[in-house]
Amino acid sequence: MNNENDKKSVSSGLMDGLIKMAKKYRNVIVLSADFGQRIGVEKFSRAFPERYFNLGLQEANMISIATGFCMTGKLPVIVGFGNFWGKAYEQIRNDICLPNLNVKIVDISVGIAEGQYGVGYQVTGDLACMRALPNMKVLAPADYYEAASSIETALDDFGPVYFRMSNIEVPCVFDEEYKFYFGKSQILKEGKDVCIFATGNVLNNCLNVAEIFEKEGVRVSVVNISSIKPIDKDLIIECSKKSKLLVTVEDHNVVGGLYSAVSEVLIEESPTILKKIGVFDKFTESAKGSDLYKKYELDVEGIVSQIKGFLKNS
Amino acid sequence: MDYSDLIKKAAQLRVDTLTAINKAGFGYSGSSMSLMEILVTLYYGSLNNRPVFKYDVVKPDSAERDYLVLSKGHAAVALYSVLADKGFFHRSEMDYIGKLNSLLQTSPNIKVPGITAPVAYHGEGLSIACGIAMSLKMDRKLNHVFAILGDGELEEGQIWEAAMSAVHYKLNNLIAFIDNDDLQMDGPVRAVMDIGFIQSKFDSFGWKVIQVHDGHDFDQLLDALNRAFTSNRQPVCIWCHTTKGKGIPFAEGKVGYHDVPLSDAELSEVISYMKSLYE
Repeated sequence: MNNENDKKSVSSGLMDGLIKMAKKYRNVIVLSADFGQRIGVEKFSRAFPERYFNLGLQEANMISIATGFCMTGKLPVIVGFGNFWGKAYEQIRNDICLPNLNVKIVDISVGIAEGQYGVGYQVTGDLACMRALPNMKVLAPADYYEAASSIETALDDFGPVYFRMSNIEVPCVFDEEYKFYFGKSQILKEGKDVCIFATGNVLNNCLNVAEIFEKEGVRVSVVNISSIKPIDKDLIIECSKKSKLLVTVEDHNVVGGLYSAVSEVLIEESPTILKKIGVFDKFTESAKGSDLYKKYELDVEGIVSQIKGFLKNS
Repeated sequence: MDYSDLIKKAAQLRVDTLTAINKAGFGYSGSSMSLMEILVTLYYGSLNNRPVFKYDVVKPDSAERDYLVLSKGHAAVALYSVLADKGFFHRSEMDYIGKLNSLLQTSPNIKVPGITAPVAYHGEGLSIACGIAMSLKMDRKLNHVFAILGDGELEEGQIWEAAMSAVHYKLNNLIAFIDNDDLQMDGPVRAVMDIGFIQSKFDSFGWKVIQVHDGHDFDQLLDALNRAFTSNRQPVCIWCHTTKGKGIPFAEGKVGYHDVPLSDAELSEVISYMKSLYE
């Protein structure tokens, strides 16, 4: 399923999808607060120099400026790095979600995957904050093709959308035929013993985990939950009834993220035990993403050993 | 409208505003009085036989309209009085401000006809105005963008982010009024958090600053706007010295009236006083 030869960063998929849509919709503009080079915005700014605005390190100002652009019929896509949205959370709430404006917000370096920038830039609370905003949709595309398709779907749709993704290269899971829909998840692998709900950066690792377990005779299903709000309730409930052990895996704090979102569905519709793997409500440290994944057990070995622990105790 | 008509209009709108705030049982009486002449100048004033502020009551989202961002959104009722008087919505809506299921929320909402930008929190309006002005520049349109800021708001960091970006993008289509009434919620601005000398602050950011010594004098306001419209490559700040609670004899310059409605007795006293001005 995952193709090791086809490695692309998720953010480049978003940028390619964005450029395609900017040709279709002439009112699409891009705002960023510095870090443009780092997040690959220059691809857009070369194609549409007059539709790109760099606001410098003024995150709060940038969000409110997007509101102004909306008032004159523009469709702003805000692309940022690290916890930029945290500096402007109040503006996102009051200036974008409250009047329900058509603004897309993209964070291109989330989780601890790009840990060397330091803990200040590690984004482990965005799902919790963004899910709590009325009108906001929250997406976490897992690969290049999903990012491209999700930005196309979001720009065809109306209303605020928040995207979380990373800038590092990962093997592609989907292909060009893939089409993203809000509130739809996919079962990428089917197995009756364990069901892993994964999102974003860690989906690839989870697919590898499933292969390892398969060799040991444990059948694992992997569900890609890229649309976190709205969430695919039916699929989650269906999976909960089929598997013996349910686990969420996320590169996010286990408080308020995917674990909470899936729990909210299960507790209401189909109460069952759900285990969690993620950043365990702590600040990490500045180190290479791969080293952090190892230490905080989000790499393949870490996830395998945690799931083995759950299986042993169940 | 000539000078005396503008004075009468301001008095009438003051009565409308204070009555609505009294009916709502909540509102910023003092803050809604200090900017009344600025609003009246924009919506009723004319320069060189042209209206200062372009709007279309029949088609509120007309492409020709100018934009107003009421950054001091807590003075929304004053703006609603103007819009109701102009006929953007029926006057009866003024009786239900801030009540369940009402059209008029206590801060400006774009669902209201005639409101051109949403404001829900202080300190963000100048950025929104910058965004509108940038977008108009991008489309090579000549509409103007006006913002009305309180002085307490200038304590917010985001105002200065916006001030910097307005100059960076050479937004000469942006005119920001500062309603400098020297008072905020907790007392004199100077005592709460001194914002210093507004002229030199905006000057150093690269704005063109025009000082209006009496922000309740229509001649001075119109003259300032006339100069603002000819700005070349610079955003314009019209720094207006105003009085909180202006027009209410017992509330002028008193911080206690910043965010409270007048009582029924106070209101009837003010109405009888003001009606003598415009009837």
